[in-house]
Amino acid sequence: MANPFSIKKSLEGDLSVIALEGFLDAHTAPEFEKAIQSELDAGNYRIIVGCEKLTYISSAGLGVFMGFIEEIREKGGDIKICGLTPKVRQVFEILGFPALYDILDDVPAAVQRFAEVPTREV
Amino acid sequence: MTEVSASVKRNLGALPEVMRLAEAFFASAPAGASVRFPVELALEEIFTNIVRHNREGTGAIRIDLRTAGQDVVISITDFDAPRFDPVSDAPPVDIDKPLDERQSGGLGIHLVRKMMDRIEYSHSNRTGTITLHKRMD
Repeated sequence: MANPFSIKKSLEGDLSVIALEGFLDAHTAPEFEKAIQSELDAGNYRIIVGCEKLTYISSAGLGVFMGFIEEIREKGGDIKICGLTPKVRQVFEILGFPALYDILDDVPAAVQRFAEVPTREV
Repeated sequence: MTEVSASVKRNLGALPEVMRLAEAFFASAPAGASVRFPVELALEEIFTNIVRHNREGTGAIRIDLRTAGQDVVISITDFDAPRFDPVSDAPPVDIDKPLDERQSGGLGIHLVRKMMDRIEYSHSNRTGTITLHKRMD
């Protein structure tokens, strides 16, 4: 495939870290959706999505964040987003995500934010 | 002038092929990363919009990327479509609304509106064409 996409999962204490790499588009978004769903199925509602190696995102990728956030916050959890490159950040900003999600520089900053703000109003 | 074009199947599985077309275009077009990203994004958003919303349509989708003066021009043609201009007929998105009042649809078109310099739509004999312009300077 011309533009590969991959996901790596890890744990930071009791937080789930989902690191995205490559091209998150309408074709690959279902993979990201499955990754989040499997965390919820396991009862993990405190999720950090790392985007340091994410090179592309479209509305289909952002739609995955939107699709889960209400359920996650109703359970007292949250999705914190970190490591956006400038071009990916531009997409988040155009769609108004900084008002809805905590967006941090890196994983340690996201871990810290979870300690300060475990969840947010839907 | 640089021009590439292709007919691609109307399903999301064809998206890698659509992106390869953009890759081939930018391999020879005099446009940098600041133009490439919005063009790729707009191309994906319009293509997926057609695939998702014109479920009755049959046949391939035609995509054409070319340079014209200082613009990159992207044309996406659906040869079996009712009249629907995704830009002006789609409901507007209010990105200032709180989460629970937002609708998930329309985000892609909102991105296209923000990232392209000009958007045109034409429709005749069930053929709809969306043409996007992005300045290279």
